[in-house]
Amino acid sequence: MFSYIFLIIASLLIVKPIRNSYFLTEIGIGKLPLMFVLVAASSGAVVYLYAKFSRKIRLNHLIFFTTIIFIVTLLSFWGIFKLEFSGKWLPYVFYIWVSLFGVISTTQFWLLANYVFTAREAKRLYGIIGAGGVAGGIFGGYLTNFLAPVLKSVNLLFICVFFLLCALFILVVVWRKSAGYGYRERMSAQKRVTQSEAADNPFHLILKSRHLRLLAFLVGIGVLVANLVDYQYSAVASKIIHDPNELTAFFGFWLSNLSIVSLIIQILLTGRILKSLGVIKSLFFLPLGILVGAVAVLFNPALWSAVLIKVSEGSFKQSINKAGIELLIMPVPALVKNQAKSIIDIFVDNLATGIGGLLLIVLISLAGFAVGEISIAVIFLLAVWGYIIIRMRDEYVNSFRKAIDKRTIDIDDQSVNLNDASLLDSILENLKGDNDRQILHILDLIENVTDDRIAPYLQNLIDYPSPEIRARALRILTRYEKTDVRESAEKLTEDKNQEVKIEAIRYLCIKSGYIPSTLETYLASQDPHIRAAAVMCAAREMKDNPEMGSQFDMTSILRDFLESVAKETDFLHLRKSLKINIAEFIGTIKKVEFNHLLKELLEDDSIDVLKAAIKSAGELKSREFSGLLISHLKTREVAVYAREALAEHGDDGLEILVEHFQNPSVEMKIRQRIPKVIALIGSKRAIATLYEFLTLKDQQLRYQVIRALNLIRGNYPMMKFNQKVLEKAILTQIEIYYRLNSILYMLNQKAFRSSTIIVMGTRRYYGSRARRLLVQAIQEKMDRAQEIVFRLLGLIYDARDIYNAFLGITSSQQSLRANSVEFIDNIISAGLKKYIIPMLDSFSAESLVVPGEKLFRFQIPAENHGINSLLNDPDNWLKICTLYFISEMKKDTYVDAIDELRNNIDPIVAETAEYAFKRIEGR
Amino acid sequence: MLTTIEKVIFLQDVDIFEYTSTEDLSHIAAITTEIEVKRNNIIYNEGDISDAMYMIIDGAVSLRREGIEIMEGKVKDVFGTWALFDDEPRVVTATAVEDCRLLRILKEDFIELLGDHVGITQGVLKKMVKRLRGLVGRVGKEADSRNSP
Repeated sequence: MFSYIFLIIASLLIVKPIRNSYFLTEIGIGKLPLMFVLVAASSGAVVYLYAKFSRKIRLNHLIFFTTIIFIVTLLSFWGIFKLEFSGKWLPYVFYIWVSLFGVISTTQFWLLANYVFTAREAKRLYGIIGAGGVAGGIFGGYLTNFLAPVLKSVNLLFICVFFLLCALFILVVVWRKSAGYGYRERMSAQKRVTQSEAADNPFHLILKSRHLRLLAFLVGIGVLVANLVDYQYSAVASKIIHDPNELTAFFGFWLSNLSIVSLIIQILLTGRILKSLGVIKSLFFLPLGILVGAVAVLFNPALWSAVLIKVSEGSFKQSINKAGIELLIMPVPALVKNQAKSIIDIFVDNLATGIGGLLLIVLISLAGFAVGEISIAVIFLLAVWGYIIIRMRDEYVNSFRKAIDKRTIDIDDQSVNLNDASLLDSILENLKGDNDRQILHILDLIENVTDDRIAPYLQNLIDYPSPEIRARALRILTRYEKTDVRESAEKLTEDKNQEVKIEAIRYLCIKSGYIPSTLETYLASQDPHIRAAAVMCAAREMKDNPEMGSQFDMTSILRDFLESVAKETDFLHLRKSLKINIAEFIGTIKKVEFNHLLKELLEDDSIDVLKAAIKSAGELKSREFSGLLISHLKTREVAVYAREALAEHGDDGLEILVEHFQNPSVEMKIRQRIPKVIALIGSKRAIATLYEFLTLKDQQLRYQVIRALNLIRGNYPMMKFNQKVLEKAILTQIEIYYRLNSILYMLNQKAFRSSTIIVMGTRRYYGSRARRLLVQAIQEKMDRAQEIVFRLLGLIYDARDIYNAFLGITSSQQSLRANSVEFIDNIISAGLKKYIIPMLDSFSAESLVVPGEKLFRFQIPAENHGINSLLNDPDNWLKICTLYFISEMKKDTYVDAIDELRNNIDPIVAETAEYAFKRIEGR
Repeated sequence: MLTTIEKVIFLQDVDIFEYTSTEDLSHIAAITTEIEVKRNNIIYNEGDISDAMYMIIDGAVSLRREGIEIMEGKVKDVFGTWALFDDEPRVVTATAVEDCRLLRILKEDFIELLGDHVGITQGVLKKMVKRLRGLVGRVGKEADSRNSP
């Protein structure tokens, strides 16, 4: 991911200077304000469309195809520039294109990162990955500076193409290795979040909160001033440097320098400034830096003053100000934050860019301001900026206090940073309290903060009544070098709580300086609880510190321990939690040597252990576990985990899934659940596999296959399905419908002559109970066939429309039914219409007889033909009901067929055949 | 002993399964157990844990609360239905007044079945909603009649 963002930002920093110099030399500085307005408008529109489509396309496909589009357009621009095409619109288009490339490619990267890393990993790694972006910026800018005069600006586009191709390769690898699982897992979670979010308008959220309103103003005014500064910088540069290649090199050079300054400030100053001055005072650095530059440009609009204003604006913005803004949004609840952030980052940013452009037009064209004089407007805006920061101060502290009280701070947010001096005090106050949940929340927040002022509070928490808090405090204390609580930790190795024991051993190991020898002492303990804690401690340390793996034979430690504990029944509960930990550990460590241990855990009796083992098997993505995972599909409590884990194997796992699905000796429950696993894989091969099963004879399995296709359709609404295959499957269902109808009509005719009438709900049944059961079963099968037709139509046409029509058709309201038939009549193809509409339009078996004859040449069968046809039907339930019906008729015409069914593989078919046989035989 | 199909025929008359398809009834039939209870034997006591529902195949069952008979169940009657859906203790004592043959559905098995067969869940919910609507309608009518002069 480091390399990925490096390549993206490097490309951006190559095209940006080219764009600026091309625009300024071809069009001139006069039109730059208009360009700002155009960029704002087009970005808004494209981002809106992008957001709309992105929800419907799988993320890896989305990134892949947009990157391909970027590559193709880059090559097209190169061709156009090479041909020296001189259309006036071209610099505008190129300028907008580069802006969109910047917004979309970086947004996509962070979206991908979100799926690659868990929240905890993100907290740890986003800083390093972000550095990849900065490094890419420095590299790209300098590369442009050196190569633009040599190769000519236009040829640098080829380097971008090369970088983007490398990024594509990384994307494929990253997605295969780690992002796929996170994506699937979060898709469902996102669906739930989206539904709840839909209730509140994000704009309303911002308007409702004073804190968010001020934050939006703060970001907005920052963008507005940045546009004015950018204009001054570009205007001065283009006035002094006339050669386009030199201008490109100049922009590239200073963009790189700006990144370096920003990096230095970030590394050396940001943390210290935030720690000593607090977030609010830190926010003044950016406007004050710009103020110095603005005064310089006002009195001397030369190249040095333009560079000064640009560098102070860019470097403070990317370092101190960015960290400050992230801190400002921290107290906002996670759900509100996500929505508000997107509105502020996209809408407010675009709006301010547009206003910046308009303001420049007014200042230059109407008020006649010179480049230097624009600094007057800048200084005025800086005053407003300062005022907003002051207003923000009280609001921020209040929001933070409220957030701590309500525990709404998102602890998984990678931006959480408690270096702010003013905040730390209010946090420490809460650590003295007796509210367990609040203390745990604070411990979450300070997990990555090392500040000696916190140490005494943590030391007090070692004796806190809640074991969870004791364990957490100990864990955090291992990072504090000046604080030594070894004496207390020694006592805590005998704590009643296992987690506290583990943390105590961990603390003592780390503080001893040599982990293996200390750990061995505890691994040899007579107390199995301490031994267990030491095993877990070793496992966790090995995860965090893979080098330790060479110092221990972890497999035999785990196995020896499990075997020794297995003999002691008192430790049954301990064994379970330990097994869960071991299973999780194996999933995280991803070492083949533990696979056989995981296999054992996959056969454990405890559901909790199974869940953990299945999850780990999914993370390991090894086909070695496929058989066991498939067998767990039948267990209700773990089926969902087994499904996710199997889907992890992707296309590689399809073969074994198909094998089990087609094997009649595999339990039906398992076979029925396999299509959903294939749907979760969701690849083209998975869909093709499901198509093959559309013609299965077994109705139940076929139904599950269609449901699986519907699931894929729901997850990826833009995916195109093979219409021909689906239409064929629809016709098969309709044929079943008409065939059953002709038998139903025959049965009704026969029964009508008898006198018994049974009314059930809205339906009337004639004849005996056995006949009633059979008729009811046939009607249910016809209903099911109709439902399948709609499910298949939902794969061809808009799924929501089809679903609504289905609800209308199955409704008891006459008007709703008629409207739905009308709707279906209008949208489906003429080929399907002649089969489907009669089916939907009819109210009785009789009215369907004629279309059945016309379309499929189904005649009303004679009774014995109809009954025999049902006895041979692939649907077992129809067979059972028919057998029961025959047993009541006591006709010996069907004895041979019944005799054969006595040995049927389905126990209920065999049982009913036996029952019917005996009744007919009079036994 | 009843065969599965005979149990299905029986289950068709159980109110709560009115909207359950016949095939799904066969799945329910598969988890039922046929039991025999001698006359005067107690099936469950008031205050017992609710763990099963019963259907009378043969015989009769008396349902009593604090010693007072609330109803006598005959063939095809069902009792203890709510045990399948809530954890409250039994509110009546069920005693066989004749030698009885009963069909029993254990709550644990039924919940497991609901997880596997969404059609059964839909059918049961539909019936419950109908009942609730009926109840709301009745309460509304009673309120109207009380308010009218």
